[in-house]
Amino acid sequence: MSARVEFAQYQALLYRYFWPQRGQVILLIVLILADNAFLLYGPNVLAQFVEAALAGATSDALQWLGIVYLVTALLRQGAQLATTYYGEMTGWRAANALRFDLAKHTLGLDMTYHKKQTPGVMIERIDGDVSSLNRFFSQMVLQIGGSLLLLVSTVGVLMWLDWRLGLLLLAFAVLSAWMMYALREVAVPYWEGAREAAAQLFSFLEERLAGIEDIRGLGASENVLRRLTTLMERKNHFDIRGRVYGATTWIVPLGLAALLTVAILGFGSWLYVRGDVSLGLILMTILYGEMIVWPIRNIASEIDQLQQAAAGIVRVAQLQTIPSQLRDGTREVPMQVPAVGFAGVTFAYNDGDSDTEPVLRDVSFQLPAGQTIGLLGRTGSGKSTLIRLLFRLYDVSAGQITIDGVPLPEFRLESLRQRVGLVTQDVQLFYATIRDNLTFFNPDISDEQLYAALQMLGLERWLQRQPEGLDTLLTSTNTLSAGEAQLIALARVYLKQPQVIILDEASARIDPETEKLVERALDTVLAGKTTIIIAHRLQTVRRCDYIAILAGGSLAEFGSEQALRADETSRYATLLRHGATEELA
Amino acid sequence: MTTSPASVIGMMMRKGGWWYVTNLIIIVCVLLIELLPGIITRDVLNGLQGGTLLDVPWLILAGLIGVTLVRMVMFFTLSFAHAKARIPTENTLRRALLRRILQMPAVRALKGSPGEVVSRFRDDINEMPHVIFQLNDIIALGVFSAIAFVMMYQTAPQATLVIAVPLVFIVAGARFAYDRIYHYRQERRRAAGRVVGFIGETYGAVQAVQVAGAERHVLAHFAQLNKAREQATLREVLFDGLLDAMFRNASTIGTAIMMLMVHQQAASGQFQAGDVAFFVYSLGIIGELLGELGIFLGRQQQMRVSIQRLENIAHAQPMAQLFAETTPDAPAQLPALHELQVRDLTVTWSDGAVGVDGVDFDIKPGQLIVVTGVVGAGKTTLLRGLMGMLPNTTGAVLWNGVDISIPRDQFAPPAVAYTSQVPRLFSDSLQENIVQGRDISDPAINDALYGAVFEYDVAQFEQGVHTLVGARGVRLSGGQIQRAAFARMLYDRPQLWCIDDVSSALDIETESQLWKRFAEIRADVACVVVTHRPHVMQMADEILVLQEGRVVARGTYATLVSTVVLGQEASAH
Repeated sequence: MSARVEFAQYQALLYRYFWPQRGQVILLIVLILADNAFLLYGPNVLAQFVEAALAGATSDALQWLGIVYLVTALLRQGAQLATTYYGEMTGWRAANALRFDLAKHTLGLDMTYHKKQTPGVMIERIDGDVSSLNRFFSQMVLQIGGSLLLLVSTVGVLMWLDWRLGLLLLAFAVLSAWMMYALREVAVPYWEGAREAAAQLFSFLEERLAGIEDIRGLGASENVLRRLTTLMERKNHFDIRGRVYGATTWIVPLGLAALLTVAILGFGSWLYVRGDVSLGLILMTILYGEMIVWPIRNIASEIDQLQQAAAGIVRVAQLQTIPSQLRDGTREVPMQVPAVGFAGVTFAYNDGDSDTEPVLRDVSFQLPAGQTIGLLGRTGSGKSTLIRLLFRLYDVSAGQITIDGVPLPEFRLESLRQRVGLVTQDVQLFYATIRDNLTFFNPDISDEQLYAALQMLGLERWLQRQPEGLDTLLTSTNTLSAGEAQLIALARVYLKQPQVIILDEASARIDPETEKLVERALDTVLAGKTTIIIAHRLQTVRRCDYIAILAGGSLAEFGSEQALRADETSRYATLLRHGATEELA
Repeated sequence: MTTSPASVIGMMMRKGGWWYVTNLIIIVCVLLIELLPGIITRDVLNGLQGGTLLDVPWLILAGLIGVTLVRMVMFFTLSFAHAKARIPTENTLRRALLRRILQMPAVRALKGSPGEVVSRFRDDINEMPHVIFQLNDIIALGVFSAIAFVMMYQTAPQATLVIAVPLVFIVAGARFAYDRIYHYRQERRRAAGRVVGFIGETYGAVQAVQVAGAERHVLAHFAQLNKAREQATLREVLFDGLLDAMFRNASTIGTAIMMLMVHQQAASGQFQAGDVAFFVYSLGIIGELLGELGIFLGRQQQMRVSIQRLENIAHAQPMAQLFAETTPDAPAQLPALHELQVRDLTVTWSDGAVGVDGVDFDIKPGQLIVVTGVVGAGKTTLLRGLMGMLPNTTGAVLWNGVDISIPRDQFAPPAVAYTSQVPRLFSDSLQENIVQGRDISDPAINDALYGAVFEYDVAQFEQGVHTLVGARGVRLSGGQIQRAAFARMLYDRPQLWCIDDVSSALDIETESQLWKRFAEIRADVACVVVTHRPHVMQMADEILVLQEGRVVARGTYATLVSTVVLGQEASAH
């Protein structure tokens, strides 16, 4: 991966996130101009003071100059404060817009991408990387722009007063700029390495913190701490180098600035002795020389930051260019209950680098509208994969899946996922309130609807026990048993009111007694809907209209439940006998 | 009570050791050298004005160039020492915090979402060490200012004293701003924590979000949190900017006072051009000192917030102990198990409700106890309480008659192993997940895979046990994750197995095979299993039926099946 960031990338970022705030940006430019003007005027007042004193001016006149100086200084502080404030504001808005875009982009990516990421890495990508970019937005652009402007006007004013001194300052500025250009990317590889190492460190931490119960149960604490140390050492390795190499960008101009003072003193004295310049002008040049160090030092330190940001930009740009393997369609899924069809569906998980063995091979069957199918098969036979395909968490490698005869890719993803509901055995909960966990942050769902859903699933008593009702914070391990979490998942689907419902081992963690309650609730939810039920317990699929059995990724058997049950030789009938003895004997 | 910022600064300095001292020495030298250009400029200009020194002192100027080069080398060393001196603090704190969290009763160990806690590990720890280097800067600037002040006093005593007055007032005035600094920082951190936590949660549950088609709402919520953070940040920036302006302004006000005070001397030629230059130069650096001082004082308030946040996730362990990083003695290995007695095991929730109430049982190697009951009956809580993973657990757990107290650190391999209801794998290879840093033994891995009915799947994997399982094991199917976790528990054959509903994601055939093999391999092991499965109950030496945390019935399957309790269960299948 190239560490070099193309200018066009900066430009694109700037345009995209600053153009919408152009009013603010113009205000900022005005503030910077004012700031510079006040700043340049200060030394001029001092020069006038020295000149006036030499010329034998009255004390009153000198006192007046003191007051002018004070007012200029105060105005400058005001302008500077306003610049910082509006600069930060512009920067944060731009950065938050970028964060939003990144979140939007990555949420739209399919599971091929998400399988490889830990939440910790996503935190680093969306927050960490953008935070370094944030400085680029809020400070760098302004600082560098403002500093350049100051540089040019300082040289310009001096040029106007005495071209030789002006030229000296110009030479210094050019030399510094050239040095900085030469040094601009010295530290990029190290900052990039440091960010990568940080991402690894913190994603490791996130994962372990989320799995404390397992670590503790395994007595693996010391092992975890050992690995933490290794990861921290890696981060430190890059941090140290990044810092030292990055320092060149401010150390070199600082050294040059000291040399500039020497040059002004030497050259200025010579001019003064010749009678070409006044003492006040030399003083002013020295003050300007000291002042000019600041914009150059600013530019330098901002370039140092820019190098860190460059690493961020590279990674952000990378993230933005990851294409989703899914293309969004345009059609809406019909409102009425649809039929679902699988035709020659073949699928292999593609890891990007190697094609793996197909998980599904040529699976075909039709499920008429409003009918129920029980999907059976051993773990790893491809049942869950088939479901993921129906949600377009992945796209089929060959064949097609249709809803009312229309291939899935023609539908809008959002529409598809709205109309199809899924309850899995592993319920993913947020560290958020009960309300947010049920509604997925949809503000349109009313509390009444939530109460109704919870009541239907027999969760009212559980809700009453929660100290803050719907506003209680759910911490997955604390408040909910796994069985209750599954009930929550059912409530989510109930609130969504989909036309196609998939139950993937939905009652695996529920005891038989609660299961009866759930089944009653399901009768309401499932009534008239097209339903796919994945189950290990045969009890659950007995009421299905159809049965499909998957084995090793292929459809081993498909037919109506009654027909298969009646056929003594069918796998289903065999399973029924086998399962019955297994469960009841 | 949180530790004071001042004492934490002391701890960080000691951690920084010689690198910290090096940083201090160099920065003082650098600033002392910085006096030279000021003095030389003054003398050259004054000389020009007086007409006494028409020759430019070239030697001095050449010397200045040499000094400049030395100074540049010093700056590099400074950067290096800075990086080196902060690392021990960062490493120590991160390690000590993680260790502390891992020592707490596991289920309540984490205060906040994992993502939010990570933000403390990252931001708060990243920021704290800055302050000791700032202190170094202040010391160096202070040395410079003191010398410059004396020199200014020699030139114009009255003016110098008057200039000092507003400076003192400004520093004193800053104290009043403290509470606000603290408040704004806290708000900002809190808002940032929410953003980070939300990202973590969203991507931890990304499949659920996608399946629910909830991207739009999730994004809207994200935008809302971002906005709140932006506002909190801007408030802090504005306030800090005001303070900063006040401090930095001190030097320009000082310059203006100088002009007002010395105008008579200037008019009479006693206060010369070189003196003006020197005053402006020195006041500039004194202004920097004040600015740094202001930031330093403010930062202490911000540090207070960070310290609080870190001590909070460390369950109130004070900083001094985190810094000391006392490595606990490895818990003494438990002897071979003859009998485990559980007496009056009770778990109380923080709201006073009872999760498990007075459970007793005995178990010996080779025995199996099944725990069953409806959703929310307290089965998982019972196992977690037994494992010492919950606070407010009372009662005794006697290993060969010896009470093992909370958090029962010894209840881990090689003595005890536990599989939670929803086990988590980590994004490593399958082998690393099973072995978890213990010694690697291929036969033991194979035994564990066999016991978990996983050897067939693993043989199918292209890379066998070296297959990467992905974040939270996402590359495996639900059933595979459960069996991998089961294998992880079996590895190295601990003496007591606590199993929470392990087979829920398995199909009938795999499950019956699992329990068949379980019966084969559990011969000399004590097992406590949470399950609803009748055929496991049939193997059990004792079944405990829980209801609202109490044992409402107990006995063997044969004795219980005739009663109502298990009759329902059996008829459901």
